[in-house]
Amino acid sequence: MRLLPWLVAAASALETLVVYDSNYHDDIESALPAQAFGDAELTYLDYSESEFKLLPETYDSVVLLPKAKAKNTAKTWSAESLMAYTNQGGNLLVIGAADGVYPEGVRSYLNEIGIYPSPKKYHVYDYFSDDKSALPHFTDANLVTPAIVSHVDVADYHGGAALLANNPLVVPLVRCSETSFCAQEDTPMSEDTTWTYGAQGFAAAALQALNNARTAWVGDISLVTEELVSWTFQQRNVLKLQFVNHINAAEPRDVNPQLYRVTNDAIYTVGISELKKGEWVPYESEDAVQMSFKMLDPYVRLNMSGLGPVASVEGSDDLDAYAYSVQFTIPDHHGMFTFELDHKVPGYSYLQDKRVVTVRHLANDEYQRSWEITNSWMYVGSSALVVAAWLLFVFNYIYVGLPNKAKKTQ
Amino acid sequence: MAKSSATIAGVKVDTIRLLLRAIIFISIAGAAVSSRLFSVIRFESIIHEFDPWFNFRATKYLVTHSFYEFLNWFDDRTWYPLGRVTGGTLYPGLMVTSGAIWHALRNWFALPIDIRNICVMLAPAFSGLTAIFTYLFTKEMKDSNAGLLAAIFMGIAPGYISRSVAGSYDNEAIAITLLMATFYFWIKALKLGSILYGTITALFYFYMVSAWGGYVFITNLIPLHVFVLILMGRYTWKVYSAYTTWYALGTLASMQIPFVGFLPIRSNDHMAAFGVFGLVQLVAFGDYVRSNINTKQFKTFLTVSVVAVVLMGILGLVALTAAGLIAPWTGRFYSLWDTNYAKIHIPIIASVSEHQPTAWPAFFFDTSMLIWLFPAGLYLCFQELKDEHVFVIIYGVLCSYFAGVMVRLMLTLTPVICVSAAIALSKLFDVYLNVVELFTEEVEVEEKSSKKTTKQRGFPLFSLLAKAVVLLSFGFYLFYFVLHCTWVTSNAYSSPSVVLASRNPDGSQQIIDDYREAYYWLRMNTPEDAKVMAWWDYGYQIGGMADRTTLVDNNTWNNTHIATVGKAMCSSEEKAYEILRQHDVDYVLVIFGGLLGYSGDDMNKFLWMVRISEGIWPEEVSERSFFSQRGEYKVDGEASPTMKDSLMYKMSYYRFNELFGGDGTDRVRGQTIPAKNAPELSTLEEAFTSQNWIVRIYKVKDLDNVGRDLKQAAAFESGKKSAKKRGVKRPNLDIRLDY
Repeated sequence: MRLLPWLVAAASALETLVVYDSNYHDDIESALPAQAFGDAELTYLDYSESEFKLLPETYDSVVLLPKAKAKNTAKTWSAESLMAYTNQGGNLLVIGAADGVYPEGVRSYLNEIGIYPSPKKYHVYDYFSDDKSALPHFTDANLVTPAIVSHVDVADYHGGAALLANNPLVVPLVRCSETSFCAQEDTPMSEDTTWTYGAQGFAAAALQALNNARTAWVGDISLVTEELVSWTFQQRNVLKLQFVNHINAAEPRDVNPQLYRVTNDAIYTVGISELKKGEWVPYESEDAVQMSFKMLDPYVRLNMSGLGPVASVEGSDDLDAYAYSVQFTIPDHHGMFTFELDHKVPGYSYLQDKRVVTVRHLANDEYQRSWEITNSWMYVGSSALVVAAWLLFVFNYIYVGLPNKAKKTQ
Repeated sequence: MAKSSATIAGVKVDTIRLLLRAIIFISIAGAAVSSRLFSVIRFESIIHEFDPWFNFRATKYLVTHSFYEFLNWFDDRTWYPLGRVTGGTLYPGLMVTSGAIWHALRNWFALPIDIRNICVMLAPAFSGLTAIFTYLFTKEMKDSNAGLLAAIFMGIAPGYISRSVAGSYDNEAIAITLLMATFYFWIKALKLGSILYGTITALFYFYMVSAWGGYVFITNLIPLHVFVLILMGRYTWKVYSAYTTWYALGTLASMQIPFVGFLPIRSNDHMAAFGVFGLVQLVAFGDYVRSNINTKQFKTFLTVSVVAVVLMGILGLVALTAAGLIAPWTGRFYSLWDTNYAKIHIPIIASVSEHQPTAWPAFFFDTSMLIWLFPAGLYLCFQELKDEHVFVIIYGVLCSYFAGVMVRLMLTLTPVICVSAAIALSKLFDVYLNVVELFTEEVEVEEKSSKKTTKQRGFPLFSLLAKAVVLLSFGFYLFYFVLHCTWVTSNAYSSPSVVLASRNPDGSQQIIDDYREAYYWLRMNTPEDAKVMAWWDYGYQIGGMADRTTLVDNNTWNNTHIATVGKAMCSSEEKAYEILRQHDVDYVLVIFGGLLGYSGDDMNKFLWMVRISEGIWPEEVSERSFFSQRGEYKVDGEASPTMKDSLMYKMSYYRFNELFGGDGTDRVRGQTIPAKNAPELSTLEEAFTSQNWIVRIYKVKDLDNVGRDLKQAAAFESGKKSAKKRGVKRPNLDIRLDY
């Protein structure tokens, strides 16, 4: 089952688990950049701890630190367990290091979602960088998805880089410069030994699953910023579809009717909130919010116009959602149509909604009557004329014609 | 025969005759109804087969809603997502009839009967009425003796029973009754030249139009009759008044049925009636002219006008068809003339078993000895050749042809076989049962010959013997006919096909109820708005029994949509998944008979799915690739890769080998399903398989949560990917396409 993201985000305190390897980190508390984690309540756990079950109910976010050796990890940190955690709505922040390794389960989890970090001892080098050490300097120019990370300034980046597969849900965050490459120190460039070439490599990437669970990966702890952490822990860019209404413009009292008729006017309204500091506030989108009315193919696809802040609960004074609305004429085609909202902006929660309604044909008494159609007057008139002529003929045949015939026979 | 003055034991002979006739009618109706009850007794009071399930559902809709709502019914539970304008695309006669009976019983007789029971029993009840109308019709042809024979034949002839057993709630159930009624009133109207009977004919024609698409048969047969009569020079004012009354009123009335609408003036199928209507006017005018001018002038007038009219008619028809004002002939019509037409051009028509040409034993199977009495009856009609006999001859000749082309048209042939066989048999009985005449003739002979010879004996032994032999043998034939009809009815036509019966090795009966088990599972375990994809044969049943939305059903109005389903079934999982997602499919249902040896399963219909979708997407689907290298239809190890990849194959044989713990045996096709490379499914998961594996239901998986394709996700789930690898290798990835 997919947990709704706001349920996770709305949990009272942020319970965050930090998993580390005591062989790699001597003093774990000082190893983490405290300012990046803000008010998150951190609990520490060693990788070797086997009596632990990973559930989003106990910890809604998990930070996975590098390890000294890949093997001998508890089953809790297997790829299957991590995948289940994501599928249940848990958030993961995976931190790599050039001198450490990813536990086997964590690596194959990352590979599974399409992130392939470089192995131990691989570094990103850039001989064209202004730095003498040949280590790259990441600046805002390297950012790809400003909605998640909008500022970075890391000189002498010590971590490795990752290859990204074509998973559309994975968004790159920090791209390596075009003159960089990722390899072990003092090895010649070759197909086998060089992990990434140029802009092919990424130093940070993120995944937002369809259930809005978030996973972020960074090649080195220096890239962990408050921005990234708050995004990963569902404190930022969390959207919620507060309500979806559709009405027939002719009968506005009947909300969400199951049945429409062709060429009815429909009004489709949605209310979207954004989570800010633990409260739902109206979300005014920079991009157009689009809806479509489709049956196999979209018959109507329209940008909705913002109406302004509204209350998501009827009768409440708390204006917590921003309403978007559009009015359109239902196409002259009957069938089962879907009101579809599919709002996917990188870095923001996905908003998806589908409502199937029936669009019926005109009933037998909903067409124009014959006398209302001017074209038909001629036909109606001529048939009336035929009837009249027939009656006249019968009258003539029976009453008028008879005396003559009688006279003739006489 | 003695007139009304004759009495037996103080009771008038006519009264006795009436009483006897009433008793005979009641017996005939009793026989007709009771022989149709096998299915109810063997199984239960259940709706049969496929189409009746839709009729039943529509009837339920009618009795729970108003007639207005029924008329404008837009059905959003079939043909998802297109929907069906059901009110405007069905023949409402059947539903309205049972709805009316239901209301009448409830409101007037205070008998609240379940609508299902009315639907189940409607066909047998109407078969009794059919017998009566057949009696009346045949009486017009010969006499009431022939009528009674025809009635009993009609009551128990398997050709008609096949479509009217209890539970076979189909349009034909009442349509045959209406067919005979319309014909009876038409003959009556023609004989009397009566506008009243013409109007009644039109009324019954209207009822027929409202009940069955086969009304086109009447629309063409009556004009043909009139046309032949005109050609034979038998035009009278009676023909004129009967035909024009019927045509004008009948056509106007038939246009009130929404499904028919403007067809009577637009479709080619109805043009014959319209043309004959015009012709009758011309002939009437010619008749009038002839009575006013001399013969020589009339001849010129006739030649000129006939040529002109024929030319104008043909040109007009061609021009209007070319301009698109008249709808061209439909595919079903073409397939009536060219039995290969459908196979080449419209696989969907050819795929229906009842549209196949009839095998010749079927004629005997369905009508027994009547089939050889039928030509004799027609011959007798030729001998007398009154106007009404012409009708029987035309009807017989046309229907024999049509019945040979399409199995289902056996149904319209059966009445005329019964009628003409009855004519033949009653003629035979007239001659051979008449022992009295034998004696009176004998006396005359004796009187004449007594002078010449005294050898002549008084008792006509040989004549009597000859008659006795003929009568006894025909008595035996009749007896045998009844036996045959009962046997056929009980063995061939009384299975509901929803519930199957088979025999255990020890002879005891076993009921195989997989269909209802599966449909009930769907009804109880899936969301109410779940969309179920299945081949169109099962659409009505899913709608009726499981009450779930279907993609296609037995009302095959949209070939493309059916082809889409066929394409999903015959393409690989990945391609099929796109189609399934696009159509919001939640469940896929397949029929698989391989375990039980049930031959009517989807694997045997599979080639039709391939052909139908190939008709729409010839570049994506190719029939040849589903055959093995040697061109055989194989499902075993030699099956072609396309076949093994197809969704239908995978769904049918998924986990089939686990039953056998090795190679499985498909008992329908008699082939071995190898355990090696057993089919695997990644986009679907098995949701339900019925007890005997006849119905298998699969649930369509959601998109993967983290954006993998489902094959990869399934491999991950099954743990195949987590094989331990030494070291980390650089993956070989496609270039990332970034936005």
